[in-house]
Amino acid sequence: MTLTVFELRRMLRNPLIWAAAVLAIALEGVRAAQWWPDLTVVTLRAVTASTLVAGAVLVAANLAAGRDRRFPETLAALPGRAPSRTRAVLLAAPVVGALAAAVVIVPLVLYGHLRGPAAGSLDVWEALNGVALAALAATVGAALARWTPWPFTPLLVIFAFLALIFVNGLGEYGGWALPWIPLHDPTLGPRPSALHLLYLLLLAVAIGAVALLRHGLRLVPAAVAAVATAIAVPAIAQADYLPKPPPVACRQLDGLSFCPRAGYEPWVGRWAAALRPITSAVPPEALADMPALRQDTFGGLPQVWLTGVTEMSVAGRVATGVAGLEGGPACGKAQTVVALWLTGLVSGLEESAPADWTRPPDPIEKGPGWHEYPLTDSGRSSVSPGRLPGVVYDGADLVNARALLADPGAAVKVRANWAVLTDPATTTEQAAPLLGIAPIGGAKACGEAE
Amino acid sequence: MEPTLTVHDLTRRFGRRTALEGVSLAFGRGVTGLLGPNGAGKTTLIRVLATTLAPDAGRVAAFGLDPADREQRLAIRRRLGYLPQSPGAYPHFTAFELVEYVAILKEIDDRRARHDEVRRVLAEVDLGDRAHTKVRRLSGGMRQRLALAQALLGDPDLLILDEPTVGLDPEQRMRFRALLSRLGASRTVLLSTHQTEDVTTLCERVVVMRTGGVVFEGTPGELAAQAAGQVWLTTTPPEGTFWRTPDGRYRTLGHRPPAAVPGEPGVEDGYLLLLGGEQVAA
Repeated sequence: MTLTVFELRRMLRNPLIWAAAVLAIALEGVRAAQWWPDLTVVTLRAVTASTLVAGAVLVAANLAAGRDRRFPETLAALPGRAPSRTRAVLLAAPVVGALAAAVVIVPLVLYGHLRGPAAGSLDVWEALNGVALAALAATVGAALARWTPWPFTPLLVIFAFLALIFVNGLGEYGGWALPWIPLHDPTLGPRPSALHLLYLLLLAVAIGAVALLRHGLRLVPAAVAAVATAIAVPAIAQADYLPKPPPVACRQLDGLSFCPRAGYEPWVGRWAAALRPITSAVPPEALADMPALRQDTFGGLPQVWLTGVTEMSVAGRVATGVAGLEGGPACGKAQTVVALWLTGLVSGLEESAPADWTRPPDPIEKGPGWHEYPLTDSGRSSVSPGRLPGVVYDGADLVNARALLADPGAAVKVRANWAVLTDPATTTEQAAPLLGIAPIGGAKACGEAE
Repeated sequence: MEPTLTVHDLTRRFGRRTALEGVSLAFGRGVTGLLGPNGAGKTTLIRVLATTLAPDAGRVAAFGLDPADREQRLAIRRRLGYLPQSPGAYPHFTAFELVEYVAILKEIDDRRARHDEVRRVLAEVDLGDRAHTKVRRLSGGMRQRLALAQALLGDPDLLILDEPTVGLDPEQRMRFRALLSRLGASRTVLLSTHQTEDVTTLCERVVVMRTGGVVFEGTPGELAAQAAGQVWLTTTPPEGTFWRTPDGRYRTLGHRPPAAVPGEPGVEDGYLLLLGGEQVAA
């Protein structure tokens, strides 16, 4: 017990562990500040950030358990024996690892919660997975020190873990047997987080027992390893996403119908607020034909919301629909200029026209009438390189839309001439007198780089 | 008086190399010096006595206990202080932490008593003011003293020290000798060394080893006496191996050179002559 307390004190003062914790909080904190707080995502990301701590704990536990190698002759002549040293590290390192992981996860989740209105739901079991993961990493570190003499083994194992976790983000290969699955597809239903927590804890116990077996085949550690493995493996083999939650009723706001997933109701007001520059600029009848904005569907609302980027993406979808654009080449059309102007009301029109109009692959079928184009890491739509999904426009359209954006009376003009402006047959040149702009034409064929 | 430590017909091989062959010795209270050239088997013998290496044949007993038995081996270790030849260290520990770690492994469980003991042994080796310095910041001599400090933990009845004075400056060596002579008054101290000066000033008894066997066992005076009539001083450089003394004469061992006068034999002379011309030349 004295040795365990000693190891505990040393681990608690280990700068590697706390540097990893600070780094994890800083990196994820900065990133989280740009996203609307979604507790489901916040929890997953906090646990993912805490894998940094797990890596540090693995190394620290490995060094502590492998200390014998640097002091072998002196230790060999002492009454305190190697199994008791291993046991002390196996008890101390997981406790400190779990504590450090909690120090990362709790403030990040609280930060998400307090920034409100937070969507999603806080899954405490999910958060505890991060704590258990750090404890598991500690036992792996100790076991590696006992079974392998090479100092680089922990780094190889960390690399392998990272590869398993991040290359295989949705758990495609290995499923819930993986130590952590950082991504979540909400269409698959809630994650079996409680079962996965049990699995991680049992795995930690089994690996700890394996570390002790290095000191000789003893009945107790052998039995513990066998029993823990015998429960953990079949349990996790059956783990699957839980049944989907019931669909949530859609809500009308500002003339649009918002259909959030369960737990995302707090975001309806924010979605509406983000789109208000558009909904207040167009005549009410223009919104009547807009399909409901469903979360996670093609042309709808994303699962996550990156401030400043996602607004543009969603505004583009709504503006395209409101202006009646159907996709494909639309250069020189009045409705294209109007749609771009509408998106500019939300997020400005600073950028150039995209040069690459290569269309992405077909949307992924997620269910009956349910397609998905997930956002890229930067929050941009992967559907189209421009701001109007599926619509090809050029620099001239952008220049014309910017001219309209610069006119404070543009909204009145657009509302007054809505039917003409959104007629697919109306060109920008024809609409110019109505809009009060001096239009320019495109230099190249629609979709070609200028 | 019953010897603290005995070995009988001890043999230890490493592959085809025989490190110890039929060694029989007994160690009682006081400081015993273990002398011998590299490869003589000193460290192997030390490791066997410190219970970190099992012999291939022969018997060892410490305090009447047999280290081959697990429980008895632990009982020996509880009364043993051991400074190995390469003690090793944890660079990220402070001096205090390192000694405390060993103190815990020596089963000094009471926190207050343990801390007092750590402070005591650090003071013994003159590292009291470096207690909270990281080991990596200590000089080589300080690390050697730190290693010695851990061996002193728990006031052991048997102290086995392998090359303890390596890296110590003259002042620290003198301090170390004073400490060891004090400890040797009430317990068994076994000291492996290359420094015949340590043996001369410290040891009541000396054992000389060569190629895995014991070639001399006796007092330092008896070892010096081995060289009686074989130490010579000349005014001109003699043939063979010699060295110049501070008074300008030349000192040599073995056959009498022409016009040489007898010199006073010392422990080193006895040791060198015991090991033969090969070692003298070296």
